Amino acid sequence: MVLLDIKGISKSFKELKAVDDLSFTIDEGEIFGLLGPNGAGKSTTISMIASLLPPDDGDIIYKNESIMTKPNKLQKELGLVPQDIALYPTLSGYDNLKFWGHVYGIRGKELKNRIEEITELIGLSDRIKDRVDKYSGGMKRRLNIGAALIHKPRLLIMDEPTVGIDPQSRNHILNTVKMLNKEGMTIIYTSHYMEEVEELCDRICILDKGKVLASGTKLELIKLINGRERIDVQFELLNSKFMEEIKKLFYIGEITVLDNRVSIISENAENLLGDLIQIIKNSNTRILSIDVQKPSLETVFLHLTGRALRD
Amino acid sequence: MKIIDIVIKDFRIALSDRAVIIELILMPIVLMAILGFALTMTFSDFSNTETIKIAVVKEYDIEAEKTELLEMIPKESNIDIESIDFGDFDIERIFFDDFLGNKDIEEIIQYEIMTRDAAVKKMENKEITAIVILPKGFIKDTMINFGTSFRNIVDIQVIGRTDKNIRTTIVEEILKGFTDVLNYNIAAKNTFARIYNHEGIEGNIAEHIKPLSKEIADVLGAEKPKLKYEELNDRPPMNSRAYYSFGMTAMFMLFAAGYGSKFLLEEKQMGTYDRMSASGVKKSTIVIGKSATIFLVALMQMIITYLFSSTVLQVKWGQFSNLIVIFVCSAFCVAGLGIMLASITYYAESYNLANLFSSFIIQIMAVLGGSMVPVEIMPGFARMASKLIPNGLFMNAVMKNYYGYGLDEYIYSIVGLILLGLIFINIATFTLIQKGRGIGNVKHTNVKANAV
Repeated sequence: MVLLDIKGISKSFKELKAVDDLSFTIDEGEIFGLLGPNGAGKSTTISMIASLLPPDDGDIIYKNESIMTKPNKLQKELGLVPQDIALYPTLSGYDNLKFWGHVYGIRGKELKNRIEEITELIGLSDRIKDRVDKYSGGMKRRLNIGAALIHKPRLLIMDEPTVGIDPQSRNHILNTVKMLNKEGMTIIYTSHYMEEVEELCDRICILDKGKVLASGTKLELIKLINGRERIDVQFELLNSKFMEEIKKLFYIGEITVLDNRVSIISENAENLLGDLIQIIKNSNTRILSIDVQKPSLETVFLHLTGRALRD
Repeated sequence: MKIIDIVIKDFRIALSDRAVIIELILMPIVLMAILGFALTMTFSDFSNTETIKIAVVKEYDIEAEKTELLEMIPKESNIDIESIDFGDFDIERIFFDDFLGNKDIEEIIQYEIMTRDAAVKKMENKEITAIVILPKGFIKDTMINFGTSFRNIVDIQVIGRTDKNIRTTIVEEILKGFTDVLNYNIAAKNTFARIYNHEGIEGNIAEHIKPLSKEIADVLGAEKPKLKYEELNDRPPMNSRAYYSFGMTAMFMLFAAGYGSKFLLEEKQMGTYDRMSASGVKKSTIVIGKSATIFLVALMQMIITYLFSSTVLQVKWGQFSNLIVIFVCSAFCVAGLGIMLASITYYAESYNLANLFSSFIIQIMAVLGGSMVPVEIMPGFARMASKLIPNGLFMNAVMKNYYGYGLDEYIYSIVGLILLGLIFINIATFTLIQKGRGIGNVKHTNVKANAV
């Protein structure tokens, strides 16, 4: 069942078109990934879904009703985890959760129980009475998620929830997302970390420059590159001789160069690797690393845009 | 209900910040105690019922000036110089006997005539409060003003002790009353002379002038100093503890506005503003919640300073019910000021104005509003300005309440506070509307960063 239907939305900021005629649907109970580099339009899209920004064009339908005219229905059932920590640093974690509970109209014993549940879920039971500004980055991120869950939302939007945190907190967050989804929560997950999106999302929409480049399940997207592998070579100093030689190989696929890194997408990575090492040797250049990547969303993105996700 | 939640949350935030508690609560208490005790002597002026001792320096030579005056009459005129009687218009007698010798004035001022050097010496020895200098030409010029259509400047100078500002001001005000009466008489004479020329009225000119000058004085709303003093005599004396309790409360309630001036932009930059908006909290609810917080912070400040000053410093604030009205209206005005500053700060997306207000503008307003020294001893423009700023209106109202005046005596201050509050709120609303179609439609911070 379609929970959210995004119909051709656009948004411009002066000359810049941040989102350009974007359309996709989100089914109930799925984790939907929005993948794209910084500036792809992910946050703008999320702001429009959360009714923080009105689209210039198009419509957003939640449970068969436009949020442009009736935002309340969505607002009550939406949990928003913003990219930045949206908490009150001088209040305790408990007081933060209490305030956000009040905002959603939860009070008394119900709120108390809910705070206990959330605190356990995000793993902050022993620190919940501490001030937020005493928390580590990962703890703040987890509380940021907890504040969005206080009212048991039906739809959870998570905008880059793992930016700048330690691996332990990151794993905790990813596990929490999986668990919430298992309980039936629909989740929109944005990230520029391809591995996270691959691991979590049922369907993925790849955005760049405000437009949908491709969308589908992970397998559907990987099919776009026909199962080709990618070899990344990091040079100390890339020279022109290497580039001339490598282009002479008849079976070479797509080559992308960024600074001193060369990415090659090829159907025959195994054969290529041997030739590649020989060319590196002949061109008298030093490499720092060489890496063979299995078919991945990162490769799909490279294939679609000619750029790496984290450029 | 959400407004209350926002207020409670903001209150918790304020109380969790040590700097805010120091600035908004501790500072006014500490300052009112320090200033109240340190400047006791300055304010003893108010409470001291002793008469003010002054020296009068006569720099004129009465006989020489009378002679000079008579010599000015053209010889070819038909006036019989010998028959001229200065009786009615003897300005020296009027000044010393009728004015300074007046029973009411004597209760306030005791004078002694002496030379300038002797007067300065006495003032250096703190034996007198002020020196009044009747300048050279005082007799002649005053008589010319009375007797002819010419107007010469008669400049009576008052030199006061810096540590007795208030008493010096009293002397100045009383002398001003005298010169005002003198001017009404001159105006009456001129008016009468014009009528006399046209209509030809018989009898003693002075007899006609007296009722006319009284009429002019009444029309111009002149008030004799003795009346003012009699009113003050029934009131409790002002002291430095009371004065600075009022002054610091007036000044520091502005800091509540300064504190609130960052509310909207801070909330926006923390991302909590968007989070609230996404949860369905209306923009107007957020703004009203913020205004209510500033209102309550200001009210709480006033109540705390009131409790501290009345218990520890033993200050009597006057009638309590009227004080509540003053406090509530002042807190409303401060809330309006705070939300206006907050909306401008939000509009500009910069804390410059908020910082300027807290670090500089409040100090200026405090001086103009009389938090440092009484507005009565400040220049005219400052006295006028004090009637146009929240703390000035607050000071006027609490001082009047302290002296025991009824609400009707300072109703203009109460109305002024409410009006100012409404004006501020209107400016805030206008500013927020200008920002976009309501403040929620403002460009999202993250979006902006991405869009660049």
